[in-house]
Amino acid sequence: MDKKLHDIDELFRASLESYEEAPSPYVKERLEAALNKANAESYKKRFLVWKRAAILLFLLLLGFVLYETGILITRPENSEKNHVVEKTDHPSPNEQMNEKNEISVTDKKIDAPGSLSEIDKRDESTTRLTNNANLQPTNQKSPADDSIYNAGTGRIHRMNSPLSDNNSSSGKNIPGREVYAYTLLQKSNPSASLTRKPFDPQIDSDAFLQHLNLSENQNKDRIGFKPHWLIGAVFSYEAAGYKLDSDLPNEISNIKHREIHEPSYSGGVLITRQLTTHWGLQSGLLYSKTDIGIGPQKIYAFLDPAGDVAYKYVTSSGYAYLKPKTGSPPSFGDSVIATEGKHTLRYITVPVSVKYRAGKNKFSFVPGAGIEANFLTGTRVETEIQTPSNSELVFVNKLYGAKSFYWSLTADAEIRYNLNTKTMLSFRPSFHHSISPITENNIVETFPYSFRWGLGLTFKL
Amino acid sequence: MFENHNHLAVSEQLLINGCIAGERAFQTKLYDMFAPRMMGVCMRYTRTKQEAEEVLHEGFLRVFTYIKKFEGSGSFEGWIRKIMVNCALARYRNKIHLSPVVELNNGIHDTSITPDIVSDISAKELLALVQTLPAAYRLVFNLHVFEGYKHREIAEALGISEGTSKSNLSDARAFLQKALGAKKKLIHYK
Repeated sequence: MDKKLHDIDELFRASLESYEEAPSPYVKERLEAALNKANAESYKKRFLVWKRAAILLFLLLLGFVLYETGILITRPENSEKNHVVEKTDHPSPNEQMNEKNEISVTDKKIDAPGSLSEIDKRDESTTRLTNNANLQPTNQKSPADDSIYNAGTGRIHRMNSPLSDNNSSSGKNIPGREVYAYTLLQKSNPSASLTRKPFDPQIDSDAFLQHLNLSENQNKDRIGFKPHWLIGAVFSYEAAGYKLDSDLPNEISNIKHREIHEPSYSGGVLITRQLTTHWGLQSGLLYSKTDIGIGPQKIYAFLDPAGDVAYKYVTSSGYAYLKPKTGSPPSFGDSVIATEGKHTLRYITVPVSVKYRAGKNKFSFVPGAGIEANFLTGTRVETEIQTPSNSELVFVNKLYGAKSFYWSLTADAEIRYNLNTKTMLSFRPSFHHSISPITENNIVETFPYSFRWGLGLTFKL
Repeated sequence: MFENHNHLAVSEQLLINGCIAGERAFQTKLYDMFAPRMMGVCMRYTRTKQEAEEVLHEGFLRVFTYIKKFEGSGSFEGWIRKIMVNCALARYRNKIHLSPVVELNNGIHDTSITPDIVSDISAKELLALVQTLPAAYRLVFNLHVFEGYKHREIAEALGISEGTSKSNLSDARAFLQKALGAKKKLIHYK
């Protein structure tokens, strides 16, 4: 009996081992819908990560801006140590020698020699230039000498001299107010500037004044510039378009014939770090909303990712499943006419651009170029479905096949007008072109581009 | 032939890579290539075609989800087949104890089964016989006869004892023998 039973095993195995049967097409459709759903879920999760990363980046940037501008930290008043004069209680013996002429220099004005009574009246920021005719070019340079004139920065430093004569009116040193300057005319030769030369008030005062003017003009950019932050709000009108790619040329022409971009808008906050007089880095957060109108088309019913039968509505940015709320539910393969509709894409963009500032006075030209990370935050499809019995306005907020993220390049030519020292008005035409498609698993690959004309208000921090 | 085999292997690898990348065209191709064979497997484990298609659907979803875990050490078809079998087992694992008790006729063991009888019966009819087996018997019979599982492995896979596995297999054989006897009589009359 056992053998007979084992024969059964063998007989069934031989007959059914390679048995094949074609599943119904429904299985394939359902499987495809399930895979689309799985893809959509994974994209959604991926988008969450990017969104969190963008928020984190923005917060870090904001924190850095606040820290750099000193809003978060109260700094000591004399924090700019580089500009503070090093004081010494031990002036060189040469500094105790007679002084015949003194010239007080405040800003760009030089008082006439001998007007020392006025020197006393000046505030602590007054810089006094003292000439000591008895001083000879010497290598006996006191430690204090180094603090008087910094050849590298061209600054004249102030120092105290407790050994000075108290009689200011006699043309001698003023206690606690004494400042010595080296021959600034030799500034082009830093080593020479560390030596003192006799001072002729008639010649040297003019020369010194001239030097100051030259110095301020020539070294303003190099010495006077401090890196700073600019923060601004920008609002743009947008004219958008796209480049389509597909193995099916007919689909490209159909979609292009069917769709037309409507006027769109974008706006946001841009933060610029001005690193040098000319160069800066710009980033921020921009929100954009793009509307694309769609002409009438015949749409067919397919299985949606949830396993329900719905009308598939294909656009250049993805496809949507439309389920009319009235009438009988569609069956697989049914078709209806979708009249004019539109789909909307909303993105948050994080740009990173290099900016170059040129220009003087009120106007400046600030072109820039960079890259943008674009995060899809929302989609919407609206259309009207017409059946023989009625018509219904249908809208859905889910667009399958739309990638949650894409890269784009940007270039802008910003023109700024300084309203005052802190506020600027800007006109910002810009061009943006994607370098990765905004669609995936759609009938076409879409590469959007846009021209934006923006107006902005920028504040210097 | 060897060249063909190599070509097939390369194509299979390309197919796998495409599926790992999530390319829909490759997924479709893989489905078209293996769906009929896997449908045959699923049909043996289920009672109806609809159930088989459910298992097939779940199975291919798992295949596409876990295809990156395929190490390539064995046959790719064997790997897919194992996934299908596991899907079928998962479907019945919790219901296996609810299967009805089959009363077997004492006389069925006397029916002699010969290859010529089976050759007169089409594969589809044999499949229908397997599908008429109660779930518990059908699973054990399939795992033992087609997958080559030992009773210990069957017991582990289904969460039953080895004794139950042996008993179910014996009953399944007896059931099929009886059914084949009935077929034989029918053919004899014809």
